[in-house]
Amino acid sequence: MRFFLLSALTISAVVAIALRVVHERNRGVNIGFAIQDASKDLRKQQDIIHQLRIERAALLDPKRLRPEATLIGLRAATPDEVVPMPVEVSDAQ
Amino acid sequence: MPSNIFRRKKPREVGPQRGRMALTSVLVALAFAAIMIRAWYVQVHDNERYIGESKRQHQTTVKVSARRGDIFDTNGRELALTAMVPSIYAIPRVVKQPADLARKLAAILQLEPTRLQRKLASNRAFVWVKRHVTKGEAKAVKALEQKSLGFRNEPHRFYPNGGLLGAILGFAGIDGKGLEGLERDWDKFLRGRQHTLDALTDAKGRRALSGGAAPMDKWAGRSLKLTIDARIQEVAERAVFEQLKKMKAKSGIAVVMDPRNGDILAMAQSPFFDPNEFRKAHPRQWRNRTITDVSEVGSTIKPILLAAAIDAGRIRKDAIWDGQKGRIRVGRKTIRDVHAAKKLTNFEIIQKSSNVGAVQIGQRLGKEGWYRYLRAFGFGAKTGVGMRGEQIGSLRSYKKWGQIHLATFSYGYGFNATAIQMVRAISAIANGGLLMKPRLVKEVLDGHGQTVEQIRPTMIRRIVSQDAATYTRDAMVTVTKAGGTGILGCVPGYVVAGKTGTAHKVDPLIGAYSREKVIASFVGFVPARAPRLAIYVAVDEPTVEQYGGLVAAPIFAQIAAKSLPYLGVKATEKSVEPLAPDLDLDMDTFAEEIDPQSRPWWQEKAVVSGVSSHVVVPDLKGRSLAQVLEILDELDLSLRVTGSGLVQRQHPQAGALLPPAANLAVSLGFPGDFRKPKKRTK
Repeated sequence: MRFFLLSALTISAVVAIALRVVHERNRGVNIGFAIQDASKDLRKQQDIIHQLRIERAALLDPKRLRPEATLIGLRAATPDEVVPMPVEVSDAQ
Repeated sequence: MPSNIFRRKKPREVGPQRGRMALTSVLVALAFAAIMIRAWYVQVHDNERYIGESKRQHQTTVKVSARRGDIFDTNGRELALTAMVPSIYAIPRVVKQPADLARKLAAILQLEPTRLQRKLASNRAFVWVKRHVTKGEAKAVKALEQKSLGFRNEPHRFYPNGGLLGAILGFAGIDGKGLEGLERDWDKFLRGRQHTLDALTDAKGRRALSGGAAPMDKWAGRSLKLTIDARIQEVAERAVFEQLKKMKAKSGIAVVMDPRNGDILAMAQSPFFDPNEFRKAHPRQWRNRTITDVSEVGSTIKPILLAAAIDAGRIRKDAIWDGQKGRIRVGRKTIRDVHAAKKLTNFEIIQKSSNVGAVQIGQRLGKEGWYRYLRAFGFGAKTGVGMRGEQIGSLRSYKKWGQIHLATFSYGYGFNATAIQMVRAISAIANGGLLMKPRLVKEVLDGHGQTVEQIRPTMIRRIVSQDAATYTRDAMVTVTKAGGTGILGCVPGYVVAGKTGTAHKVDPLIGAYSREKVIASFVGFVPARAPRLAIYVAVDEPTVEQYGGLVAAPIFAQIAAKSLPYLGVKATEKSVEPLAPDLDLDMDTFAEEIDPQSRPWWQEKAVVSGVSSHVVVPDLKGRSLAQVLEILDELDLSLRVTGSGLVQRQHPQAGALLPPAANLAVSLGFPGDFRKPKKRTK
C-alpha cells in the first residue's frame, strides 16, 4: 500500500509539474500575443497622432494662416511695437 | 470487559488482494515508464524533427519596417512627416470578372480601365491596384465587397506646408527612399531600419514576435531639426514670388542667414514646387538653386574687394581716387562708369557702384592678393552646407589672370559664385571678419524626440580684421542712404548695410554678354551695427526693370521688415517711410557698362555666329545636368545624355555651329572617369 501511495504521489507530482510547465509556456505565448496586440494598438494610436500632427501642421501653414489673419484684421508688428520682455527664471527650477 | 480487546489482530492476508495491488503498481509503474520513455523519445531523441515541424506550423518570419524620421524647422514646426495610408492590392487568380471590376475600380481610383483590366486578368498571385490611396477611395473600394481585393497600410511621406521649402526638403519616393534635397542627402539618418523577425502564429491567425514587442521607436529613423525658420521662409518665398510677378522675371532666389552663427534661416526660390506632387513639376524645378546655380556676382563683390584692400593695407581709408571721367583703359578694353565723377572716395565707390574706382582698388591689391582674398572668403570652394549638388563656381588661379581679368574680377565679372557663397561672404563682413560654415541641420533626434547629435556652429577662419569689416560695413550703409544705389533696400526702423549688383548674362547664342538679360541682385545685412540677418537676393532676367537696386533691393527690404520684428529685434532708428528712389540717379548710377564685344573668359574661344538660324554650341563641360537643361532650354537643340555626374565630354564641341533641332551629346561623369589610360612604358 505504501509503495502504491508513494508511486501515486510521485506520478501526481511529476504530472503537476509538467502541467505547470505547459501552463506557464502557454501563458507566455498568450502574453506574447497580448503584447503583439497591444503593440498593434500602440502603432495605430501613433498613426493617429501622426495624422493629427500632419493636419495640425497643414492648418498652421503660414500660407494658409496669412489670408485668414488678414481677414480678421490682424497684422504683423511694426518695429516700433517690438518690446523685448525680461525673462524671469523661476526659483523652483 | 469486552472480549475483543484482547483479541489478537488477525494477520494480514497474503492472498489475491495484495497480489492485485502489486500488479496494479507494476502496471502503473510500467505505464509511467512508457510515458517517460516516449517523452524522452519526443523531447530528446527526435527533438529536432519535432521542433522543425512545430516551427513549420507555428513560426513565421515578419518584416518590420520602422518609421522614417521627421523633419522640423528651428521651432519644431513639422515640415515632413510620415503616416500610414492604405494601398489596394488584388489577387488576380481569384478575380471572376476582371472587366467589370476594372471598370468599377477605375472609376473610383481614377485609373485607366484597360491597363487595370490587363493586370486583373493576369495569372499572377499579387498585383498592386493603387498605392497610397485616400481614405475616401479606400472606403469606396471596401464598399465593393470584393474578396479578390485587399488593403495594406504603407508609410507615406507628407509635406504639410505644401510648396514651402520644397526644393530644400526634396522628397521621398513611394518606397520611402529619399530622392531629392535633404530627404536624399540625409536618407541614411532619416530612413528607419528594416528587420526580419521570427514570430509565432496561432490557429486564430494571431501573431506574436519571438522576442516580445519590436522596439519600433529605437529602430525609427532619426529626425532632423533644421535651422530654417518656416515663418521667415514663407516671408522670403512670398517676397520673391510677388516681385517676380511684378518684374516679369524668369526666376528668383533669396538666402537668409544669421551672420552670428552661419544658420540658414531661409532659402527661397521661385518658381517652386510642391514635394507632395513632385511628379507634376519639371525635374528642373527640383533643384535647390541657391546651391546649384552659379552666376557672375556683379557689383555685389565690391564690398568684399574694399574689405580685402583695407585689410591688406593696400589702400588708405581716406584714399581719394581719380574718377578718370568715368572711363578707365585696361589693355585694349575700356571700362566705364555711366555716372562720371572727377574724384571718388572709398565710400563713394561702394555707394555709387563705381567700376572705375573698383578697378583701381583691384589693381592696388594685385592679382595674387585679390585671388587669395576671394579664396579666403570661400569663393571657388564648397561652403560645406552639407547638401549634394553644391557647385563651387568658377574661380581660376591668379596665375592665369591677365590685367583685364584683374580689372573685371574687381567688379564681379569673370567668375561665378552661388547664392550661398555670396551670403556667407557678406556674413563674414557682418560679423566682424569671421567666416562661418553655413548650418542647415542643427540637431539629429531619435525616435523619442531626444537629441542624439548636435551640429554646432563652426567658425572657419578670420578673413579680415574687425577694423576692415567695420569700415566696409559703414561703406555699405551709404548704399541704402540718399544718393546710394540701394535705397529701396532700406528698412524702416533699422540701419541697413547693402550693395546692389546688376550682372549681364552670357548669351550662349552669341557667346558674349547680353544687353537685355541680366541678373539683378542685392546683398546686405541688418541691423548694420548688430546684424541679425544677412540676405542675398538675385532675380534672373527681370524685364520690367533691370537694376539690382530696383528689382532685388525691395525683396531684401520686405524680408527684413517682416522678419526683424518677428525675431524680436528692436528698432534702432526712428521709424521712417522708405525713401523714394531717384530713378534718374538709379539709371545713371546702376548702369554697369559692358563692352558688347567682351566675353567671359570661358567663352573667349567661342565662335560668334552670323547665321541666325544656326545655334552656337555652348560650353557645357563641368556643368551639372540641371545646368545643362537650363542652358539648352533656350536653344533649339535635342540632348542625348549618358552617365551621371558633371559633364565631362560633349559632342560637338563648344563653339561649333549646329542647325536647329540638331543632336548634342553629353557624357556625364566625375573627374577621372574619362581619363585616357596611360601608355605602358616598355
